[in-house]
Parts: sequence; C-alpha cells; structure tokens
Amino acid sequence: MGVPPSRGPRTQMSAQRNPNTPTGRDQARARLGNLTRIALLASAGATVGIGIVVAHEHPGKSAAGATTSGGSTEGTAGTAGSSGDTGDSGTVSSGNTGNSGASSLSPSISSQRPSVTSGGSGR
Amino acid sequence: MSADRHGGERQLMIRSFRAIGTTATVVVQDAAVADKAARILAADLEEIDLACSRFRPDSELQTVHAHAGAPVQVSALLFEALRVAVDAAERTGGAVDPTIGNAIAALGYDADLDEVLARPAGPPPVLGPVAGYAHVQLNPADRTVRIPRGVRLDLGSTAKALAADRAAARIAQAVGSGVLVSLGGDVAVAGAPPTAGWAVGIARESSVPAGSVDQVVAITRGGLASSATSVRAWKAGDREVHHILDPRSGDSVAPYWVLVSATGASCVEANVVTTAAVVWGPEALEKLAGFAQSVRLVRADGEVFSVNGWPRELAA
Repeated sequence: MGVPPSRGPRTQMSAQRNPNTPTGRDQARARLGNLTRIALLASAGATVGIGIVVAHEHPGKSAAGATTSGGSTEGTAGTAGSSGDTGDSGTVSSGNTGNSGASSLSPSISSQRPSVTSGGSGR
Repeated sequence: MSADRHGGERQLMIRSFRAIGTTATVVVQDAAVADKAARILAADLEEIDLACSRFRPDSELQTVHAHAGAPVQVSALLFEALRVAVDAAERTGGAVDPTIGNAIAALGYDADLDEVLARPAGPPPVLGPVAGYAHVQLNPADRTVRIPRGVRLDLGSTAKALAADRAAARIAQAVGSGVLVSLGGDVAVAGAPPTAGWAVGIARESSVPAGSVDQVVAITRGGLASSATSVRAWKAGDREVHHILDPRSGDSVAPYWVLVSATGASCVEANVVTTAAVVWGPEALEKLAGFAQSVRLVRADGEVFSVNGWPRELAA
C-alpha cells in the first residue's frame, strides 16, 4: 500500500526510525531544525504573554489624592457597611480597573478610608 | 492600647498595640467585641513569640538551636511555623529561606530593632551563603525538627504572616463576625467582610497615615502583605543594610524594588511572594508569572508595576 503525497510528513517520521543512512540523518537534522523553530516561537510567545500580564505605569499617577480623604485616622469616615456575605465570592467594591489576570483574590481600588496601611514595617 | 472608630453605615472599631516588635492592629465591625478581639490577638501573639522568637532566650526556637544536630520535639505551633517557612523556601526556590539566622545576626540584627538602632554600628560583617532550607529536617510523625550544628533559624516574615492568619481566624470564630488583623502591615481577614470590603492603604511604611498612602485597595478574604527595603534598616559597618537577605550571599538585598505588595489566599501566601520578589530583584516580573498572587511592585526609580490583576492606579 503506497503512501499518498499528502501524507509526506508521515513518510519522514517513518524514515527517521532508521537514522543510520544519509537520508535518515538529513531528515533528522530537518526535524531538529523544525523543533528548534517551534521552541523559539513558543519562547517568544511566552515573553509576549508576560508582557501582557505585566502592566507597568509611570510614577506620579497615584490615586491617593483622589480616593482618600486627608487628615489623621481619628474620627473620620471609613470602611463601613455590614454584610451577610461570607466573602467567598471574592466580589469587591467598585473601582476595579479590570486588569487582565485578575482573580477572585485580586484586590480592587477602593474609595474608602483605609483602616490600616500595608507597607514596610520599620518598628 | 489605642482605639479608633471609623464612621459610615456601620462603624469599624480599631484596637492597636505594640507586640512582637511591631504594631498589632485588629479591626472589627461591632464595638461590643473590639476588646475581646484585642485580647485574643494579644494572647495569640504571645504564643507565637514564645514559640518562634530568635531574640527571647526562653523561646522554643532557642531550644532547637541549643540542640542543633539532634532531633527536637516541638509544639504544634512551632512545627507549623517551621513547616510554613520550609514550604515558602521550596516554593520560591530558596529565595525565602529560614536558615538565614546567623547571616542576619552577622549583619547586626540580633535583637529587637529598637535595640539595634540605639547602639553604634558594629564592624563590617563577614558574609557568606546560608546553609539552606534543605538541611532543615521536619518529621511530622513525631513532630520533631533537626537542624545542622551551627545553623540558626529566622522565621521572621513567614511567622508574622502566620500569626496574622491564625489570629484572624480565631477572632472571627470567637466573636462571630468579620475581622481584620494587621501585624506591621501584614494583613489577614476572616469572617464576613464589610459590604465594600476591607480597605487597606498601600505605602512604603505601614506607619503612613490613611490620608497619605499611595493607593487604597479593598480585599474581602485571605491576606495582603508588603515587603519594603527602605524600612527596618540599620548600619552594618559603614553601610546601611535591611532585613531582607539574599540567602545566596547572606547579605541584604540590593534595593531594586523598594516596595512589593501582594494579596493571596492567606497572609502567608501573600508574604511569601512579596519577600521573594524583593530577593529576585529584576527577575521578579518573570518569576511572578508562575504565581497566582496579584502583586504591586515599586521600583527604586519610582515606577510602579502591576502583576496578575493588581489594579492599576488611577491617574491623579
């Protein structure tokens, strides 16, 4: 039973099983070249993916002034409202910029006054 | 202990006090349970300090150091803290390593920071790579730990995050409502959150007042942690060093990132990523793609990066 022309790649695969011939070596080299190109393409794709995931922005664009009120932590309006929600949904308050890669554990921008600050702990 | 009330549809009650070398804060939604929540937090922190402190001569961790080379049976709490620390090291390829105890002491951080800052700088330290977490042998069958002779552990950041997670869970169960616990900016929440979530300010220092933070984000569960290279710093010889070490060199990390914040399923999950990112430096963005946590990184030049869904800041 002959192999139809359109099944050429399969013929190459079969020939590769006997590499101890000049033809076999040429075909093996060709296959290695193809794999290398595929690996390079995959690597480039991963790099682009990382670039998409990582969104960077310039300094000085802080939302602090727009989203928080000034003054000390005492006696000012803050996070409020009760809820029977267990929080399992991960739904958060308004202001989420909807960045790609957001999960149910991703924070959202808040317009509330923070109860605590997270940063370096000097003392 | 200081108290604060935040207004709104329902006021949040805040209690803060000093513990384990930092500021401990508990926030609840019901004034009637605020004092009880603070008492539970204080008791929890005393337990974790007695188990994990590398400064207290009476801590369980010091017993492990004293018997280095032999298996030592430890409490469930210390075993859990050790397991968390080793797990963090495995998941970060050793970037967060508990065997840095000698290295950080060699840099001069061998007592509470207030004491370190109050004394003159010591001589230039002798630095070298740490032993590595693979040498910490944990046996859950008999709850023993064995470390090599001469090795000292620093459970620092992971133990603090674990303490926040434990306390938040215990308080929420005890008071029957939602709670936020912050230990020097390492935040854990448990129970039903406020409708708009728990608002947390992001700033280079946890002591920054609410009105001066860089960003305000809301979380409803899990934890949020930050690591910074600009604070918890002191003089070693003629140079300034800080508390986040590169286990490969035993030296404090060059501050490529000045602040890294992350959220996670727990405060531990978030803390592991923030500490590792500081250690990874320029490679952090690529490595973080392999983690699920949302991360915000501030580079030394001020540029801000958002990874895995951390919300970008709005234009002012």
